[in-house]
Amino acid sequence: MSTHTLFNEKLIFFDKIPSDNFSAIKILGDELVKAGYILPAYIKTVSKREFDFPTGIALRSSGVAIPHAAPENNVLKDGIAVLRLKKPVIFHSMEDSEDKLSVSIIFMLALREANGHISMLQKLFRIFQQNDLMQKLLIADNTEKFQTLMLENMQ
Amino acid sequence: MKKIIVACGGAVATSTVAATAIRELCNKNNIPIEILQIRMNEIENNLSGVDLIVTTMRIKKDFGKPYVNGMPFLSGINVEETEEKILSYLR
Repeated sequence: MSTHTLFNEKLIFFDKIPSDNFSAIKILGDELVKAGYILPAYIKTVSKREFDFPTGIALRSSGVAIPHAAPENNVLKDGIAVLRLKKPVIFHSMEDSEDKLSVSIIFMLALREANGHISMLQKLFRIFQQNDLMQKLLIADNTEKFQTLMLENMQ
Repeated sequence: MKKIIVACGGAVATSTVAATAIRELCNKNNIPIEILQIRMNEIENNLSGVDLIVTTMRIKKDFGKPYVNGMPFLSGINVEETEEKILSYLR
C-alpha cells in the first residue's frame, strides 16, 4: 500500500463548509465514494458509530476527529480523507461522550483491516502528538503542502 | 502472565494504537502480558482472569478491576503518568 494512495491529495479539502460534525462526515464520505475508496454504506456506518462512540480528540494544538467504523466489506481501498476547517465544528469527545470540543481538522479513516495498519495508525497519532507539526498542518497554504507534511511524517 | 483488556468503541483504530503502546511499555519493563483487544460493550463478558482494563473512553461502570484511561496514548498528553499507573498495577 503506497502512502500516496492512503493520503491522496485529491482527498484533502480546505474549502468545504460543513454545518456540523455529521455534515463533515457526509462531505468526506461522498468524496471517498467518488474516488472509489468506499461504498456509500460506509458513510452511514461511520455516522452511526460517531453518534454512539464519538471520535473527537483534544490535542495540545487544537481538536481533531477521526471518524471511522468497522469496514464490513464497505471499504475498497485504504484511504484517509481530510477536511481542514476555517471555522471549527463541534464533535463530542472520544474520552467522554458528554464532553464537546472544537475540531479544526477531520481525518476520516477508511481502513479495510485495522490490525494490518498498526504502524500507519501509530504514525498518524504520532503526528497528532507533535504540537509544532500540527501547527504547520493548521496553516499549510495548500493541500499539496499539507499532503507533503503528512507523507514526510508517515515514512 | 498478566492479562489486560484494551477496549474502544469499535476495536478498530484507537485500541490498536493503545494496545501497541502498552505492549512496548511492558516489553521494556520485562512484564509478560496477554492483551485482549475488544469493543467497550464486550468488556463485561471477558473479565475472567483480567488484571487491568485500559480504554480510550472513560468508563463509568465499575467492573471491579483496576482501570486506566488510555487516551494519553492517543493525545500524547500525560503519557508518562499513564505508563507509571499501568506499571503500578502490573508489578
